[in-house]
Amino acid sequence: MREKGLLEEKECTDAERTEARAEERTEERAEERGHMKEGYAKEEAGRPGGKRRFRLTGSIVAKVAAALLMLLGAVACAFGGLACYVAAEGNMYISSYDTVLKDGLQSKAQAVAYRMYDYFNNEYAVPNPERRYLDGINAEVAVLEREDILATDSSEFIWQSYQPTEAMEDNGFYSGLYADVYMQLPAFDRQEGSETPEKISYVIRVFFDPAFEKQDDIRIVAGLIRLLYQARYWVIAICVGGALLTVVCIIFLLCAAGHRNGREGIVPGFLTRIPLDILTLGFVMLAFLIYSFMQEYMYGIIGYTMLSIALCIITLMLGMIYLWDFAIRLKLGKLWRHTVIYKVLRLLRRMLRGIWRLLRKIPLVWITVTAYLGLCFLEFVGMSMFTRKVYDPGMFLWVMEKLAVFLVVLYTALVCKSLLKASRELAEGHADYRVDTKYMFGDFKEHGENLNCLGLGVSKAVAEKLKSERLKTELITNVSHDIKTPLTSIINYAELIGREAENSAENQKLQEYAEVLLRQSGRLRRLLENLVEASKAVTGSMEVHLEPCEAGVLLSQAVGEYQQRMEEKNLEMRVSQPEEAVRILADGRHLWRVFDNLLSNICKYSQEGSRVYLSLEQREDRVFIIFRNMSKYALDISPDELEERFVRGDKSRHMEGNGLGLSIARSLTELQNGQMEIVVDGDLFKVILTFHIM
Amino acid sequence: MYNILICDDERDIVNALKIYLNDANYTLFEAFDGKEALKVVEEHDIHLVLLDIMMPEMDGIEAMVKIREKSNVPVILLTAKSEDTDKILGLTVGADDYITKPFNPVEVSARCKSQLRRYMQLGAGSIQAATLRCGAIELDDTEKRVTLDGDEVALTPTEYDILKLLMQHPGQVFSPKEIYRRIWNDLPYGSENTVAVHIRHLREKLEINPAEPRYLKVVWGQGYKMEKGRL
Repeated sequence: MREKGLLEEKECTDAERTEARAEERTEERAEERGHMKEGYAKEEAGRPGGKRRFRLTGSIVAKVAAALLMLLGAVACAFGGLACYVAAEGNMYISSYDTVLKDGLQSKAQAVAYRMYDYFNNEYAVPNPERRYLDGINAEVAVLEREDILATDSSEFIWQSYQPTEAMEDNGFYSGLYADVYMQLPAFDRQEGSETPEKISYVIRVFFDPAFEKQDDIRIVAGLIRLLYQARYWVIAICVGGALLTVVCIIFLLCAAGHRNGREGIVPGFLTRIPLDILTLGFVMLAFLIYSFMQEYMYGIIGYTMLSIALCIITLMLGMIYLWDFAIRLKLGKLWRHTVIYKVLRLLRRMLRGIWRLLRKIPLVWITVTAYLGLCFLEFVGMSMFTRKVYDPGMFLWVMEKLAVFLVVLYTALVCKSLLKASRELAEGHADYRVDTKYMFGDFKEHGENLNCLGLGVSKAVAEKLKSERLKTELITNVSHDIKTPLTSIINYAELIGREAENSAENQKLQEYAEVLLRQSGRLRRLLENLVEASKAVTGSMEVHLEPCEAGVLLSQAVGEYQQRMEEKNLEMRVSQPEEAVRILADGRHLWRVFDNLLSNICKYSQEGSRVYLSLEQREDRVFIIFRNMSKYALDISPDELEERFVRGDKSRHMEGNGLGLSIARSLTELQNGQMEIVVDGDLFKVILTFHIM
Repeated sequence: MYNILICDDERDIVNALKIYLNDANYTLFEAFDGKEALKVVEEHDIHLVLLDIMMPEMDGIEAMVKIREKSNVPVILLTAKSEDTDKILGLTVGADDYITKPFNPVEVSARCKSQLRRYMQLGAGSIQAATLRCGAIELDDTEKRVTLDGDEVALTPTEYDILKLLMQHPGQVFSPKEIYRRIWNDLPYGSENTVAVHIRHLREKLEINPAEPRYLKVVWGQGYKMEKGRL
């Protein structure tokens, strides 16, 4: 009953996992294992979902958290890396803040200078160094005439930093933060009316207000640069940290892949059903798709950044899913077997094997003839290529030769076939098969005759063996009959002596002697009976009527028969068998004899006060009937030896019994197409009977 | 007074049997081969024959066939041949019982007594309506009484119910589950062992040798049944 309960419980844990049930079950378990550590039971009852040992790798919450952390880490790494890149581009790690700021603002200065250039160009205004041109932004320009600057034909902007001069400081800006634009403005002196305007070189110098008081984009850019500069080392740390976090999370996820709390072993994932190579192909295609998408839709810096980051995340997720599934497969150990390639290869191998088998089934003669004719045909083709006249006498000779050789080959093949058949029959045990050697000659004839002699010898030996076995059994049976008659007299008169002695009441010793006689002659009788049975069981000269038999019923019947004897020996029987009927093909009477022998052994040799376990188990198409008991004596004999006739568990031989029980049980089991196995583990003595289920 | 013929070629065994069956009610005759036995049966009014099989001159089987031609006297075969086939042969040829050597003296006298009773006293006994009968066992359902060769057997109510069920359907095999369901009116949930134990007790009470039951048979791996048609 207890075993049954445990079994049920195991089934439940596997099958359903609703919370209510789990609670119910933990309660049950807490009751059932009352003798177990209280703390453990409580811990279990307090956690309805958790079964057995709680593992972090099995928790779904932990996995989701790890996945999110991984994403977070990846994003941090990407942003950190990007910032690092930008910072490195802006020389932030080697230059001072001022330089960086100045460099960073150059594009803004350029824009401002452009505006001024346009202004001067369109308005025909003459730059006036004294004038302030710009309002509302954090910049001001100064137009400087520089005679010493080379007059070039280009109107490109040339950037150059200058040390501040007094005049510039007078302009009201902090002169440390400025940028210059050299340009040649052709139209500044247009009012003088000359047709080909003289080009005069000016420098438009853009100054920035270092306080950036006004709200404009310069201020924003400057702020960003400042922020980045301040955080330039942090950014590296964020990038590295993010990468580390990602790697750690990936490792955790790979370790956790396939584990699930409440489930033993590795649980296949959703994708595991798809063959590996198909899955790999799918993921590679997906990756290509994403890559081409990236190529297609990347416009602008912001769009580029955002899109690439998003796509990177998606790629990362996909890669993670793939790795996750790969890890599960690796753990399940069916990496290679669960692929389409493997299946195709296996199919091919099977087909090849089938073809080979088919080929082998074609008789030898046919193969030879076909091969020979094929060869002839090839030869003919080859010959007709080299000779022009097909009907010349050489050709005739060739045909004749081929015909002669064909007859020889056919004859050889036929003889080989009959010899092969003979040897095959011999190998299969049909020793009375004979080859007809009448039409053979030479070595073939000798070989055939040798085979015949071999068969003759084998069949003679088999017949002699059978005869001797039968004679042995007959001898034992007859001898036992002949012994039984005098034995009957001995037993009877021994009892009569005992009775007489009892009546006379004074001759106590005589009574004791008679008892010894009785006991020993009884033993002799049992030995005789067992001997006859053993010899019959071993030689198989015993009728076996196999019919459907319920193993469970037989077990109950045997238990019923032995209940009393077991109780007398203070042995407790524990029987477990499945609910449904287990039917096997056996001879009930012989099987009972097997049970009888085993149970009487158990009665004789079990440690008193111990438990005896009888269990009936059904696994796949086999039925196992297992007898387990604790031996009274140390079993220092191997199981093989125990099964031999006349060997007994107690070497001192002071117990009743004759050592035939196990041998008889084994022979009878084998007669019923069953198997008997003896396992000795310390003092645990175990007999396993195996039968095929019906 | 009953006349019993003991026939065995082994004088010691005949003598031993004579000592065991030494009873004021029995007159004992002896014979040492089949022919002698036939002669004794012809000359005297024999009520029971104990017959060995392997004997000189004429063996037990042949002698029994000859006896059966004229008489209906109970014959118990007493032999060293313990094979199943021998037993079946002996019983089909006409023996009423079969005891293998070496025998238990108490068993022999019990079986002799049983055969004599049934032959002499109960043979012509009329059967009442409420009485179930199987061989030497009679079950009177009105009085809730079970007798074996006329002697009352004390059974517990459960044993009585099981016996009644089996006797109502002689020859039919009942599985332990079925018996449990019918007698206990309950679902058999691992209680088949109980049935087996009760049957064993019942056998010990009803059979002379419980290991070789004559009436309440064990069909190993199937169930239990009452032997059909044995008188």
